[in-house]
Formats: sequence, structure tokens, C-alpha cells
Amino acid sequence: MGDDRLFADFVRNRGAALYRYGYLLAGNHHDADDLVQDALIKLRAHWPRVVRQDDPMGYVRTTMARALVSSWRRRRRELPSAALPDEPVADPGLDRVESTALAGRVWAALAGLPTRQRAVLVLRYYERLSDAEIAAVLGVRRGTVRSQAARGLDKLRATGVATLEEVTS
Amino acid sequence: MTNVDLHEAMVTLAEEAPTPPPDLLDRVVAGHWRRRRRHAVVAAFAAVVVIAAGVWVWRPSTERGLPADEFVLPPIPAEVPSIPEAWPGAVISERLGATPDNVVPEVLGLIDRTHLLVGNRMTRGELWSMWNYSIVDRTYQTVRREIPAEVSARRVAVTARSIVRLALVNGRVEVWISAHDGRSERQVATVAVPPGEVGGLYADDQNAYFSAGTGVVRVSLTGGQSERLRGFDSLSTDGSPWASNGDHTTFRHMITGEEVRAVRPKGADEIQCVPAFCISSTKGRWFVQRPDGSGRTALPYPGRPNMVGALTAAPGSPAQDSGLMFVSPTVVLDPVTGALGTILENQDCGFGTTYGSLKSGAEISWEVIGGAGCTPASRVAFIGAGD
Repeated sequence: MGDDRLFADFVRNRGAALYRYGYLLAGNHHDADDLVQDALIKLRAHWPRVVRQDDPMGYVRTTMARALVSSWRRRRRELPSAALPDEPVADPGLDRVESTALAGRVWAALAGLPTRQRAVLVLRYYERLSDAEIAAVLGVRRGTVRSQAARGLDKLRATGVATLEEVTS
Repeated sequence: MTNVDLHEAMVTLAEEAPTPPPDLLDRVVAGHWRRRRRHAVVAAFAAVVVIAAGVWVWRPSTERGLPADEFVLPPIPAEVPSIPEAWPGAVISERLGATPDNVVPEVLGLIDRTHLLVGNRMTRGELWSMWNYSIVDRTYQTVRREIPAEVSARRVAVTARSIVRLALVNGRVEVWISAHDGRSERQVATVAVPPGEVGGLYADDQNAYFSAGTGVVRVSLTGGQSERLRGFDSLSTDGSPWASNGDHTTFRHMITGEEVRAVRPKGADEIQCVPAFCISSTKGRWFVQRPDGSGRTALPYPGRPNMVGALTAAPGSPAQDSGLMFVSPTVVLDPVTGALGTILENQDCGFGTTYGSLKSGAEISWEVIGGAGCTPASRVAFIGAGD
């Protein structure tokens, strides 16, 4: 069937890009793998509608970002003693980074961010989405995006790896 | 480190990402079918429980704020009418064959009950063609050829009198208009747009509407003036007269200004909306509701429904906004009117379907592949509000 072929082409052509995005979001190989596969399974279920709307990448990007944030929320509910939303979430998968290289230092700094702040920064600086687009992806208000980005950038600055400016769009 | 460096650092980090496993597609497809089977089992179990409860005692549902007849949810009869019988106003066509460019085209819109506007990319260069396809004699007539801008359903709209199309050129959007036969084509306006995706075009004979960046632009087709519409920040267009937010839970009508905000039921796992209604699931049970949450009614069908798209009535039309959903793999329902139709009269036939929104209506394509007593066929139905 044509749908199956189109979907197979999409997975083949975009799989690597999705893994890169998932890796930045999740911070480790294992969770990136889960994020990508779950998002693609959901995409397959809605493929005819999504492909008609001409934006399967946008659908997967949104699904992965929301899955990341909601999995973090679930984790928080299951662990009453867990950190408050704006406190760092420990992520052992990020410990292996090389602290001397710039990218490695950024990686370590990102690892210290709460998941939602990390998602906002990845969408803004890696995917280069506007704040309005990020708000749509995460299903939050634009003001929330700005505040989460500002807090995330503050924390990156505090680690000494960055002298970043807040950007509004 | 600057913001630019942060982007570059992230790109460098992303290079460390795992490569997709060679069997990624197989894993995804297997996961998809596993999930579908699980949904089917849960839904079947839920149906058994509901029927058992109904046998035990019949009482009105306390989960609904309004009478049950607010939505019309008939049981699926033993013999379901075909789609042409259920929606006698629908335009039905054979699946399209290749155009004279030797390419199977995309449907761009309905010109009238027997003619479709279709388009394809030409086999050489970045050029596109538009054709007038006769459903009756299955022939193509040239509308325009060698168009130097993408022609797709997102970029083209067919109004009562005209074809309107957008051309994206170097950060600008050109708006073009012609008669249905392609004659008298002229550029109406050029609009500078901010970076970001340009949404699907909607047009009537007065104005063209499309989203660009973080808002919606209206262009007069008579005077060429353009303006950003107030109150449409963060909404995007999909070719219908309703602009919507990213997850399709807020809709605002670009002509009337009417706003619809969907209320997610407490505890709902998932919600899908068109402006006229939403479907949502709570613990494996599916409901239909008005977007404001009223009229919430359990769907009396086993399995997971799938939203096809909105049926949006034209302003001033006596028809009402509605929408279509698959309530089984072969049966389509309009819960506002209660119309119920099947793509497959013989349930033993093999089949395939695709579906989606087509401007102010819905498009359902299906193919009867074969099986005992089955005649292979490929059909496309274009269903609008009031059909």
C-alpha cells in the first residue's frame, strides 16, 4: 500500500536526524532510542492524517518533546520525595562527558537542567524554533517558554560555560 | 560563548547520537500492530462490560450534561449504506491516473461536481503543472504548465469563481489568482513574511488567508492589501477557514472571528478535535463531546475511533459544521447528523484506506484489493458539510 511505502521512506530518510534530536532531548542513548521508537509508532497510527497535513517531522518532534516532559512528570508523581520542577534531575547517562571540550562542558551543563528547560533550549538552539513554535510543540504558553529558557540560560551561565543572551522571538 | 556557539555545540553533541538500528522500521511496524491489537482487546473487553451492564439494568448515563440526542450515534446495522448512499452530495471519483506529465497528481480542490483541480511536479526542473480533471470521462485539460513554484493542496485554493495560489519566493509570499480554466492569471500581492512555516491557504472570492511566522495574514483579492489579523497569534492555518493551535484544541474562524476552545475532560488520555466536536479517551473508553465539554457521550462502538477531518460549512450556508470519524476500520460516522457509511459493502474483501481534510471538507480514499466475490476498485470521496 502507498502509505506503508511513504512511511518506510520517512523512517529511512529521517531516522538519523530523529536520533540526534532524541539524544539531545533525552541525554543518553537508551532513552533516545525509546523516545524515537515510541514517537514513530504513534506516527504510524496517525500517518494518513499527518502526511495529509504535510508535517510528519513536526508531529514527531512534538510527540518526542511532550513524551519527554510527561515522562518526567510521571517520574515525579511516582517519587514524592523527588526534586521540585526547577531543580536538576540527575541523569547518569550524561556523566561520561569529556569536561574539557566545549561541547562536553555544554553537555554536562545541559545534564544539570530540569527536563523541560532542556527541551526548551534544544528546541530553540538546536531545532531553531521560535518561542511561539516551541509553545505549540510543548503545549504551553509563550510566557512559559520564555521563563523556562531564561532559567535554563541562567543555569548554563552559572556553570561558567556560557555568557548567553536571552533571545525573544 | 554566544548563542550561535550554543547551536554549534549542540550540533557537535548530536553527532554522538546512536545510529538508528538497521531494523528500526521493523521494530516500529511491529510496535504499531502490537498497540493496535492491545487497543482492540481493551475496547472489546470494554464493550462486553458495557453490554453486560446494560443487560443488568438500563438507566440514563450520569456522565452527560445534556440529553443523549445531542449527538446522533446510531448502532452499526448489519447492512451499512455505502458512502455514496450515506452522503448523496459527495463527489466520488476513481483514483486518479497519471497526467500527461506521466505523474500521478495531487488533488488541489473541487471545481464542481464533476471536475477536480489537480497538480503535479513536472519531471524536469522545479516546475509544476495544474490540470482540470474530468471525473466523468477521466481526462485532463491543461490549466497552467511550467509554474515556477510549488503547487500543492497547502498552496492552492479553489473558490466559487477562481483559483488562488501562493508562491514562496525568497522570504516573500506571492498571491496569484486566475479563472478556473487558468486564464487571466495575475499576481494580486507580494507579502513579506517572517521566518517560519507558511500554513495552508484558505480563500473565498474576497480574501486569501494563510499563517506565516506567528500569526495569520489576510490578503484582499480585489485590492491586494494585506494585513495581519488581530487575535490570531500562535495560530496556524491548514487550508480550512479555521486557524488552530498546534494541538488542534483552539480554533478561531478567520472570517467570523468565532473562537472555539476545547476543554480536555479530567483524566482524559487523549483528545482530538474539529471545531464542531472532540473525541477523547478515558481509561480506554471513547467519548464524543462538544469542544466546551458539554454533551459528553460514550461512543457505543468497539475499538478506537479515528478522526477523519472537519466538515466546515461556508458562512451563510444552511449546513452546519461537523466532522467525520472512522468508528470501525470500514465505517465512517458524522456524529452531528448521524450519517453512517461504509467503504466496503463486502466485509470479506481486502482493502486499504487513506483519509484527511480537504479544505472545508474531508477526503477518503479506499481501495478494494481482492478476495472472494470482491471486485477490485479504487475510489475517492470528497465529502463536505451538508452532503
